[in-house]
Amino acid sequence: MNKLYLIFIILVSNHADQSRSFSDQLLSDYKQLTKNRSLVGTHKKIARVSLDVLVLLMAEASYFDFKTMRKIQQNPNLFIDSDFYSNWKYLLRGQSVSQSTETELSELQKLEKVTLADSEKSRLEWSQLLHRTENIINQVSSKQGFDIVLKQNTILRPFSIGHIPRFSVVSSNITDITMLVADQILQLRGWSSDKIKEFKNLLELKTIR
Amino acid sequence: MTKLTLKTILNSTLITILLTGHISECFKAANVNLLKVFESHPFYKRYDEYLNRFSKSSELKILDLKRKAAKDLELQLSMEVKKSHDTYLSKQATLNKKIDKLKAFSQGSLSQSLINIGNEKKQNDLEFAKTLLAFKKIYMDKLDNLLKPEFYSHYESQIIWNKILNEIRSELEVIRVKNNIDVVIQSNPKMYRHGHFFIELNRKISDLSTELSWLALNETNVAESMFEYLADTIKTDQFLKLLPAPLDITSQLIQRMENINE
Repeated sequence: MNKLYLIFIILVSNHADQSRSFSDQLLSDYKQLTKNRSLVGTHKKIARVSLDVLVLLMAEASYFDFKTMRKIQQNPNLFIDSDFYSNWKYLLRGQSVSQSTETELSELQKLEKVTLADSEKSRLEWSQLLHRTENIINQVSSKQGFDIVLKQNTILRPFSIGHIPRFSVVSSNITDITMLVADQILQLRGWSSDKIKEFKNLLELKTIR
Repeated sequence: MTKLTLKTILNSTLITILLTGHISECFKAANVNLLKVFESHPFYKRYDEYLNRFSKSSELKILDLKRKAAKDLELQLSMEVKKSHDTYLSKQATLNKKIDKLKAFSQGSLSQSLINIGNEKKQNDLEFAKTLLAFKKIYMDKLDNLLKPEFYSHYESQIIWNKILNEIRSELEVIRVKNNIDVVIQSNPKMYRHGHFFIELNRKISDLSTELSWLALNETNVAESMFEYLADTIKTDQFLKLLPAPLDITSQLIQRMENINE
Protein backbone atom coordinates (compact mmCIF):
# COMPACT_ATOMS: atom_id res chain seq x y z
CA MET A 1 0.00 0.00 0.00
CA ASN A 2 2.87 2.29 0.98
CA LYS A 3 4.63 1.43 -2.27
CA LEU A 4 1.52 2.25 -4.22
CA TYR A 5 1.22 5.55 -2.37
CA LEU A 6 4.87 6.34 -3.12
CA ILE A 7 4.39 5.59 -6.83
CA PHE A 8 1.28 7.79 -6.84
CA ILE A 9 3.21 10.66 -5.19
CA ILE A 10 6.06 10.31 -7.70
CA LEU A 11 3.64 10.28 -10.63
CA VAL A 12 1.69 13.25 -9.36
CA SER A 13 4.78 15.29 -8.57
CA ASN A 14 6.24 14.42 -11.95
CA HIS A 15 3.00 15.43 -13.64
CA ALA A 16 2.86 18.61 -11.55
CA ASP A 17 6.38 19.45 -12.65
CA GLN A 18 5.46 18.92 -16.29
CA SER A 19 2.36 21.04 -15.84
CA ARG A 20 4.42 23.82 -14.32
CA SER A 21 6.77 23.94 -17.28
CA PHE A 22 3.81 23.81 -19.64
CA SER A 23 2.28 26.73 -17.69
CA ASP A 24 5.47 28.75 -18.20
CA GLN A 25 5.22 28.21 -21.92
CA LEU A 26 1.52 29.01 -21.80
CA LEU A 27 2.21 32.22 -19.95
CA SER A 28 4.70 33.43 -22.51
CA ASP A 29 2.37 32.36 -25.35
CA TYR A 30 -0.46 34.18 -23.66
CA LYS A 31 1.66 37.31 -23.28
CA GLN A 32 2.51 37.18 -26.98
CA LEU A 33 -1.12 36.52 -27.83
CA THR A 34 -2.43 39.46 -25.80
CA LYS A 35 0.24 41.65 -27.30
CA ASN A 36 -0.87 40.61 -30.77
CA ARG A 37 -4.53 40.90 -29.83
CA SER A 38 -4.04 44.50 -28.73
CA LEU A 39 -2.45 45.14 -32.11
CA VAL A 40 -5.23 43.40 -34.02
CA GLY A 41 -7.89 45.65 -32.50
CA THR A 42 -7.97 49.40 -32.85
CA HIS A 43 -5.10 51.24 -31.25
CA LYS A 44 -6.16 52.84 -27.99
CA LYS A 45 -3.50 55.56 -27.90
CA ILE A 46 -3.02 56.69 -31.49
CA ALA A 47 -5.65 58.28 -33.72
CA ARG A 48 -5.46 60.02 -37.07
CA VAL A 49 -7.12 63.01 -38.73
CA SER A 50 -7.14 64.55 -42.18
CA LEU A 51 -5.83 67.98 -41.31
CA ASP A 52 -5.96 69.17 -44.93
CA VAL A 53 -9.72 68.62 -45.08
CA LEU A 54 -10.43 69.95 -41.58
CA VAL A 55 -8.61 73.23 -42.08
CA LEU A 56 -10.91 73.94 -45.03
CA LEU A 57 -13.91 73.69 -42.72
CA MET A 58 -12.64 76.45 -40.45
CA ALA A 59 -14.48 79.75 -40.88
CA GLU A 60 -11.21 81.66 -41.36
CA ALA A 61 -10.30 79.50 -44.37
CA SER A 62 -12.71 81.62 -46.43
CA TYR A 63 -10.31 84.53 -45.87
CA PHE A 64 -7.71 82.87 -48.09
CA ASP A 65 -7.22 83.15 -51.80
CA PHE A 66 -6.34 79.55 -52.63
CA LYS A 67 -4.72 80.39 -55.92
CA THR A 68 -1.99 82.45 -54.26
CA MET A 69 -2.44 81.11 -50.70
CA ARG A 70 -2.47 84.74 -49.53
CA LYS A 71 -4.89 86.13 -46.99
CA ILE A 72 -7.73 88.39 -48.07
CA GLN A 73 -7.70 91.54 -45.96
CA GLN A 74 -11.02 92.87 -44.72
CA ASN A 75 -14.27 91.51 -46.19
CA PRO A 76 -13.63 88.40 -48.35
CA ASN A 77 -17.12 88.71 -49.88
CA LEU A 78 -15.99 91.88 -51.63
CA PHE A 79 -12.67 90.51 -52.86
CA ILE A 80 -12.23 90.36 -56.64
CA ASP A 81 -8.50 90.61 -57.17
CA SER A 82 -5.66 92.36 -55.36
CA ASP A 83 -5.88 95.58 -57.45
CA PHE A 84 -9.60 95.86 -58.10
CA TYR A 85 -10.32 98.62 -55.58
CA SER A 86 -6.97 100.42 -55.67
CA ASN A 87 -6.52 104.06 -56.72
CA TRP A 88 -10.21 104.96 -57.02
CA LYS A 89 -10.16 107.71 -54.41
CA TYR A 90 -7.96 109.85 -56.69
CA LEU A 91 -10.91 110.21 -59.06
CA LEU A 92 -12.54 112.43 -56.47
CA ARG A 93 -9.69 114.96 -56.75
CA GLY A 94 -10.85 118.37 -57.89
CA GLN A 95 -14.43 117.72 -56.83
CA SER A 96 -15.94 120.28 -54.49
CA VAL A 97 -15.75 119.21 -50.86
CA SER A 98 -19.12 118.21 -49.52
CA GLN A 99 -20.56 115.77 -47.04
CA SER A 100 -21.29 113.22 -49.79
CA THR A 101 -17.75 113.50 -51.21
CA GLU A 102 -16.31 112.93 -47.74
CA THR A 103 -18.51 109.86 -47.25
CA GLU A 104 -17.59 108.53 -50.69
CA LEU A 105 -13.88 109.05 -49.99
CA SER A 106 -14.18 107.14 -46.75
CA GLU A 107 -16.03 104.26 -48.50
CA LEU A 108 -13.39 104.07 -51.22
CA GLN A 109 -10.63 104.03 -48.63
CA LYS A 110 -12.38 101.13 -46.93
CA LEU A 111 -12.66 99.25 -50.22
CA GLU A 112 -9.01 99.91 -50.96
CA LYS A 113 -8.15 97.76 -47.97
CA VAL A 114 -9.89 94.74 -49.53
CA THR A 115 -6.72 93.26 -50.96
CA LEU A 116 -4.24 90.44 -50.37
CA ALA A 117 -1.77 90.42 -47.51
CA ASP A 118 1.88 89.91 -48.39
CA SER A 119 3.23 86.38 -48.65
CA GLU A 120 5.09 86.38 -45.34
CA LYS A 121 2.09 87.61 -43.33
CA SER A 122 -0.19 85.16 -45.17
CA ARG A 123 2.10 82.25 -44.41
CA LEU A 124 2.06 83.18 -40.74
CA GLU A 125 -1.75 83.53 -40.71
CA TRP A 126 -2.13 80.16 -42.43
CA SER A 127 0.10 78.43 -39.91
CA GLN A 128 -1.89 80.07 -37.11
CA LEU A 129 -5.09 78.74 -38.68
CA LEU A 130 -3.55 75.27 -38.83
CA HIS A 131 -2.61 75.66 -35.19
CA ARG A 132 -6.19 76.61 -34.22
CA THR A 133 -7.46 73.58 -36.15
CA GLU A 134 -4.96 71.41 -34.30
CA ASN A 135 -6.19 72.78 -30.98
CA ILE A 136 -9.72 71.61 -31.78
CA ILE A 137 -8.29 68.26 -32.90
CA ASN A 138 -6.42 67.96 -29.60
CA GLN A 139 -9.56 68.76 -27.59
CA VAL A 140 -11.58 66.10 -29.42
CA SER A 141 -8.83 63.49 -29.27
CA SER A 142 -8.30 64.17 -25.58
CA LYS A 143 -12.00 63.58 -24.91
CA GLN A 144 -11.71 60.29 -26.77
CA GLY A 145 -8.71 59.30 -24.67
CA PHE A 146 -6.02 59.32 -27.38
CA ASP A 147 -2.46 60.34 -26.54
CA ILE A 148 -1.23 61.01 -30.05
CA VAL A 149 -3.02 62.17 -33.18
CA LEU A 150 -1.31 61.71 -36.52
CA LYS A 151 -2.18 64.54 -38.86
CA GLN A 152 -2.26 63.31 -42.41
CA ASN A 153 -3.04 64.41 -45.92
CA THR A 154 -5.91 62.27 -46.92
CA ILE A 155 -6.62 60.44 -50.14
CA LEU A 156 -9.67 61.67 -51.98
CA ARG A 157 -12.12 60.04 -54.30
CA PRO A 158 -12.00 59.45 -57.19
CA PHE A 159 -9.09 57.02 -56.83
CA SER A 160 -6.20 57.48 -59.20
CA ILE A 161 -2.54 56.56 -59.16
CA GLY A 162 -1.71 60.21 -58.48
CA HIS A 163 -3.66 60.11 -55.22
CA ILE A 164 -2.00 57.03 -53.75
CA PRO A 165 0.99 58.78 -52.15
CA ARG A 166 -1.33 61.15 -50.28
CA PHE A 167 -2.78 58.32 -48.23
CA SER A 168 -0.61 58.62 -45.16
CA VAL A 169 -1.72 56.24 -42.40
CA VAL A 170 -2.45 52.93 -44.03
CA SER A 171 -2.92 50.52 -41.17
CA SER A 172 -6.58 49.92 -40.34
CA ASN A 173 -6.03 49.78 -36.58
CA ILE A 174 -5.70 53.56 -36.24
CA THR A 175 -9.03 55.26 -35.55
CA ASP A 176 -9.89 58.12 -37.86
CA ILE A 177 -11.45 60.93 -35.82
CA THR A 178 -11.82 63.37 -38.75
CA MET A 179 -15.62 63.22 -38.62
CA LEU A 180 -15.73 63.89 -34.89
CA VAL A 181 -13.49 66.93 -35.31
CA ALA A 182 -15.49 68.11 -38.36
CA ASP A 183 -18.60 67.94 -36.22
CA GLN A 184 -16.96 70.07 -33.54
CA ILE A 185 -15.66 72.68 -36.02
CA LEU A 186 -19.03 73.04 -37.75
CA GLN A 187 -20.85 73.26 -34.41
CA LEU A 188 -18.49 76.05 -33.35
CA ARG A 189 -19.41 77.82 -36.59
CA GLY A 190 -23.05 77.65 -35.54
CA TRP A 191 -24.20 75.34 -38.32
CA SER A 192 -27.54 73.56 -37.92
CA SER A 193 -27.42 69.84 -37.19
CA ASP A 194 -29.06 69.08 -40.57
CA LYS A 195 -26.44 71.06 -42.46
CA ILE A 196 -23.65 69.41 -40.48
CA LYS A 197 -25.08 65.99 -41.27
CA GLU A 198 -25.31 66.78 -44.97
CA PHE A 199 -21.75 68.04 -45.07
CA LYS A 200 -20.41 65.06 -43.15
CA ASN A 201 -22.13 62.66 -45.54
CA LEU A 202 -20.40 64.45 -48.35
CA LEU A 203 -17.04 64.12 -46.63
CA GLU A 204 -17.63 60.40 -46.11
CA LEU A 205 -18.22 60.01 -49.83
CA LYS A 206 -15.22 62.01 -50.92
CA THR A 207 -12.55 60.75 -48.56
CA ILE A 208 -11.16 57.32 -47.92
CA ARG A 209 -10.62 56.06 -44.42
CA MET B 1 5.66 59.68 -18.62
CA THR B 2 2.10 60.46 -17.59
CA LYS B 3 -0.65 60.91 -20.16
CA LEU B 4 -1.12 64.54 -19.18
CA THR B 5 2.54 65.40 -19.52
CA LEU B 6 2.73 63.69 -22.86
CA LYS B 7 -0.23 65.65 -24.17
CA THR B 8 1.09 68.92 -22.81
CA ILE B 9 4.38 68.33 -24.51
CA LEU B 10 2.73 67.35 -27.77
CA ASN B 11 1.06 70.75 -27.86
CA SER B 12 4.43 72.35 -28.30
CA THR B 13 5.90 71.64 -31.70
CA LEU B 14 9.41 72.46 -30.60
CA ILE B 15 9.39 70.06 -27.71
CA THR B 16 7.54 67.48 -29.77
CA ILE B 17 10.59 67.20 -31.96
CA LEU B 18 12.70 66.52 -28.90
CA LEU B 19 10.18 63.91 -27.89
CA THR B 20 10.67 61.91 -31.04
CA GLY B 21 13.01 59.52 -29.31
CA HIS B 22 10.46 58.81 -26.61
CA ILE B 23 7.66 58.12 -29.09
CA SER B 24 9.86 55.74 -31.00
CA GLU B 25 10.35 53.80 -27.76
CA CYS B 26 6.60 53.64 -27.11
CA PHE B 27 5.31 52.97 -30.59
CA LYS B 28 6.68 50.88 -33.38
CA ALA B 29 6.08 52.39 -36.80
CA ALA B 30 6.73 51.09 -40.29
CA ASN B 31 6.85 52.52 -43.78
CA VAL B 32 5.22 51.23 -46.89
CA ASN B 33 5.41 52.48 -50.44
CA LEU B 34 1.89 51.88 -51.71
CA LEU B 35 2.82 52.96 -55.20
CA LYS B 36 5.39 50.17 -55.50
CA VAL B 37 2.92 47.67 -54.08
CA PHE B 38 0.25 48.74 -56.56
CA GLU B 39 2.72 48.50 -59.42
CA SER B 40 3.44 44.90 -58.47
CA HIS B 41 -0.27 44.05 -58.39
CA PRO B 42 -1.54 41.98 -61.36
CA PHE B 43 -4.24 44.58 -62.02
CA TYR B 44 -1.59 47.22 -62.64
CA LYS B 45 -1.06 45.71 -66.08
CA ARG B 46 -4.68 46.47 -66.80
CA TYR B 47 -4.52 50.02 -65.49
CA ASP B 48 -4.45 52.95 -67.89
CA GLU B 49 -3.20 56.06 -66.12
CA TYR B 50 -4.26 58.43 -68.91
CA LEU B 51 -7.85 57.20 -68.67
CA ASN B 52 -7.77 56.27 -64.95
CA ARG B 53 -9.57 53.09 -65.91
CA PHE B 54 -8.90 49.36 -65.96
CA SER B 55 -9.13 47.45 -69.22
CA LYS B 56 -11.17 44.30 -69.72
CA SER B 57 -9.45 43.25 -72.90
CA SER B 58 -5.84 42.23 -73.48
CA GLU B 59 -5.96 42.98 -77.21
CA LEU B 60 -3.36 45.72 -77.38
CA LYS B 61 -4.37 46.90 -80.85
CA ILE B 62 -7.99 47.47 -79.86
CA LEU B 63 -6.93 49.18 -76.64
CA ASP B 64 -4.64 51.49 -78.63
CA LEU B 65 -7.48 52.38 -80.97
CA LYS B 66 -9.66 53.26 -77.99
CA ARG B 67 -6.91 55.41 -76.52
CA LYS B 68 -6.57 57.26 -79.81
CA ALA B 69 -10.32 57.85 -79.84
CA ALA B 70 -10.06 59.15 -76.27
CA LYS B 71 -7.32 61.58 -77.37
CA ASP B 72 -9.69 62.90 -80.04
CA LEU B 73 -12.37 63.30 -77.40
CA GLU B 74 -9.91 65.19 -75.21
CA LEU B 75 -9.29 67.55 -78.13
CA GLN B 76 -13.05 68.05 -78.46
CA LEU B 77 -13.20 68.82 -74.73
CA SER B 78 -10.38 71.34 -74.93
CA MET B 79 -12.17 73.08 -77.83
CA GLU B 80 -15.36 73.32 -75.79
CA VAL B 81 -13.41 74.62 -72.80
CA LYS B 82 -11.75 77.21 -75.02
CA LYS B 83 -15.13 78.31 -76.36
CA SER B 84 -16.47 78.73 -72.83
CA HIS B 85 -13.30 80.53 -71.81
CA ASP B 86 -13.73 82.95 -74.73
CA THR B 87 -17.32 83.66 -73.64
CA TYR B 88 -16.06 84.19 -70.09
CA LEU B 89 -13.34 86.57 -71.31
CA SER B 90 -15.74 88.54 -73.49
CA LYS B 91 -18.02 89.06 -70.45
CA GLN B 92 -14.95 90.14 -68.48
CA ALA B 93 -14.09 92.60 -71.26
CA THR B 94 -17.61 94.08 -71.10
CA LEU B 95 -17.23 94.51 -67.34
CA ASN B 96 -13.79 96.10 -67.82
CA LYS B 97 -15.40 98.58 -70.20
CA LYS B 98 -17.92 99.38 -67.48
CA ILE B 99 -15.00 100.06 -65.13
CA ASP B 100 -13.35 102.35 -67.69
CA LYS B 101 -16.64 104.19 -68.11
CA LEU B 102 -16.93 104.56 -64.37
CA LYS B 103 -13.42 106.01 -64.24
CA ALA B 104 -14.20 108.50 -67.01
CA PHE B 105 -17.61 109.63 -65.80
CA SER B 106 -17.76 109.00 -62.10
CA GLN B 107 -21.26 109.90 -61.08
CA GLY B 108 -23.36 109.07 -58.05
CA SER B 109 -21.98 106.60 -55.57
CA LEU B 110 -18.64 105.49 -57.00
CA SER B 111 -18.03 102.88 -54.29
CA GLN B 112 -21.44 101.24 -54.77
CA SER B 113 -21.01 101.14 -58.56
CA LEU B 114 -17.62 99.51 -58.03
CA ILE B 115 -19.10 96.91 -55.69
CA ASN B 116 -21.86 96.19 -58.24
CA ILE B 117 -19.36 95.61 -61.05
CA GLY B 118 -17.30 93.49 -58.68
CA ASN B 119 -20.34 91.33 -57.97
CA GLU B 120 -20.95 90.89 -61.68
CA LYS B 121 -17.32 89.87 -62.15
CA LYS B 122 -17.63 87.36 -59.33
CA GLN B 123 -20.84 85.98 -60.82
CA ASN B 124 -19.07 85.55 -64.15
CA ASP B 125 -16.25 83.63 -62.42
CA LEU B 126 -18.73 81.38 -60.64
CA GLU B 127 -20.67 80.64 -63.82
CA PHE B 128 -17.43 79.70 -65.56
CA ALA B 129 -16.44 77.42 -62.67
CA LYS B 130 -19.84 75.71 -62.84
CA THR B 131 -19.54 75.27 -66.60
CA LEU B 132 -16.15 73.60 -66.21
CA LEU B 133 -17.49 71.28 -63.51
CA ALA B 134 -20.38 70.34 -65.80
CA PHE B 135 -17.88 69.51 -68.57
CA LYS B 136 -16.17 67.08 -66.25
CA LYS B 137 -19.40 65.17 -65.69
CA ILE B 138 -20.45 65.23 -69.37
CA TYR B 139 -17.07 64.05 -70.65
CA MET B 140 -16.78 61.36 -68.00
CA ASP B 141 -20.01 59.87 -69.41
CA LYS B 142 -18.81 60.34 -72.99
CA LEU B 143 -15.59 58.50 -72.16
CA ASP B 144 -17.55 55.63 -70.60
CA ASN B 145 -19.57 55.23 -73.80
CA LEU B 146 -16.57 55.56 -76.06
CA LEU B 147 -14.38 53.06 -74.22
CA LYS B 148 -16.85 50.24 -73.67
CA PRO B 149 -16.69 47.30 -73.85
CA GLU B 150 -12.87 47.17 -73.78
CA PHE B 151 -12.54 49.29 -70.65
CA TYR B 152 -14.42 49.27 -67.38
CA SER B 153 -16.50 52.41 -66.79
CA HIS B 154 -15.30 55.12 -64.42
CA TYR B 155 -17.64 53.81 -61.71
CA GLU B 156 -16.57 50.17 -62.20
CA SER B 157 -12.91 51.20 -62.20
CA GLN B 158 -13.42 53.00 -58.90
CA ILE B 159 -14.83 49.77 -57.44
CA ILE B 160 -11.74 47.90 -58.68
CA TRP B 161 -9.50 50.54 -57.08
CA ASN B 162 -11.40 50.08 -53.85
CA LYS B 163 -10.96 46.30 -53.97
CA ILE B 164 -7.24 46.57 -54.67
CA LEU B 165 -6.65 49.01 -51.81
CA ASN B 166 -8.67 46.85 -49.44
CA GLU B 167 -6.72 43.79 -50.52
CA ILE B 168 -3.41 45.58 -49.97
CA ARG B 169 -4.52 46.88 -46.57
CA SER B 170 -5.73 43.48 -45.48
CA GLU B 171 -2.36 41.85 -46.27
CA LEU B 172 -0.60 44.77 -44.68
CA GLU B 173 -2.50 44.10 -41.45
CA VAL B 174 -1.16 40.54 -41.35
CA ILE B 175 2.41 41.81 -41.61
CA ARG B 176 1.74 44.56 -39.07
CA VAL B 177 0.40 42.17 -36.44
CA LYS B 178 3.10 39.60 -37.12
CA ASN B 179 5.82 42.21 -36.57
CA ASN B 180 4.11 43.88 -33.60
CA ILE B 181 3.88 47.19 -35.44
CA ASP B 182 1.62 49.90 -34.04
CA VAL B 183 1.21 52.03 -37.11
CA VAL B 184 2.05 51.76 -40.80
CA ILE B 185 2.43 54.93 -42.81
CA GLN B 186 2.79 55.71 -46.46
CA SER B 187 6.38 56.59 -47.20
CA ASN B 188 5.39 59.35 -49.65
CA PRO B 189 7.60 58.63 -52.59
CA LYS B 190 8.28 61.39 -55.04
CA MET B 191 5.16 61.99 -57.10
CA TYR B 192 5.29 61.33 -60.77
CA ARG B 193 2.29 62.12 -62.83
CA HIS B 194 1.88 61.43 -66.47
CA GLY B 195 -0.78 63.22 -68.38
CA HIS B 196 -4.36 62.15 -67.93
CA PHE B 197 -7.55 62.90 -69.81
CA PHE B 198 -8.76 65.70 -67.51
CA ILE B 199 -5.39 67.32 -66.76
CA GLU B 200 -6.09 70.60 -68.59
CA LEU B 201 -9.65 70.85 -67.32
CA ASN B 202 -8.51 70.17 -63.76
CA ARG B 203 -5.87 72.87 -64.06
CA LYS B 204 -8.48 75.39 -65.17
CA ILE B 205 -10.83 74.39 -62.34
CA SER B 206 -7.98 74.64 -59.82
CA ASP B 207 -7.40 78.22 -60.96
CA LEU B 208 -10.94 78.92 -59.81
CA SER B 209 -10.54 77.13 -56.48
CA THR B 210 -11.20 80.28 -54.41
CA GLU B 211 -14.49 80.77 -56.26
CA LEU B 212 -15.30 77.10 -55.71
CA SER B 213 -14.78 77.52 -51.99
CA TRP B 214 -17.27 80.43 -51.99
CA LEU B 215 -19.84 78.35 -53.82
CA ALA B 216 -19.21 75.23 -51.77
CA LEU B 217 -20.99 76.38 -48.66
CA ASN B 218 -24.32 76.62 -50.49
CA GLU B 219 -24.14 74.08 -53.26
CA THR B 220 -23.45 70.47 -52.39
CA ASN B 221 -22.24 69.41 -55.82
CA VAL B 222 -19.66 72.19 -55.75
CA ALA B 223 -18.61 71.31 -52.20
CA GLU B 224 -17.66 67.86 -53.49
CA SER B 225 -15.41 69.45 -56.07
CA MET B 226 -13.95 71.84 -53.54
CA PHE B 227 -12.42 68.96 -51.60
CA GLU B 228 -11.18 67.35 -54.78
CA TYR B 229 -9.37 70.46 -55.95
CA LEU B 230 -8.40 72.22 -52.75
CA ALA B 231 -6.87 69.26 -51.01
CA ASP B 232 -4.34 69.18 -53.83
CA THR B 233 -3.47 72.80 -53.11
CA ILE B 234 -3.35 72.40 -49.36
CA LYS B 235 -0.72 69.98 -48.27
CA THR B 236 -0.16 70.09 -44.57
CA ASP B 237 3.12 69.18 -42.97
CA GLN B 238 2.76 65.68 -41.80
CA PHE B 239 3.28 65.07 -38.15
CA LEU B 240 3.80 61.49 -39.13
CA LYS B 241 7.41 62.39 -39.62
CA LEU B 242 7.65 62.52 -35.86
CA LEU B 243 7.48 58.78 -35.80
CA PRO B 244 10.78 57.47 -37.07
CA ALA B 245 9.94 54.49 -39.21
CA PRO B 246 13.01 52.39 -39.66
CA LEU B 247 11.13 49.32 -40.79
CA ASP B 248 10.20 49.29 -44.46
CA ILE B 249 7.66 46.55 -45.09
CA THR B 250 7.14 47.26 -48.80
CA SER B 251 8.99 44.20 -50.06
CA GLN B 252 7.30 41.95 -47.49
CA LEU B 253 3.93 43.22 -48.63
CA ILE B 254 4.77 42.78 -52.31
CA GLN B 255 5.85 39.21 -51.56
CA ARG B 256 2.57 38.45 -49.78
CA MET B 257 0.51 40.03 -52.56
CA GLU B 258 2.38 37.93 -55.12
CA ASN B 259 1.71 34.78 -53.14
CA ILE B 260 -2.02 35.37 -52.86
CA ASN B 261 -2.34 36.36 -56.50
CA GLU B 262 -0.44 33.36 -57.85
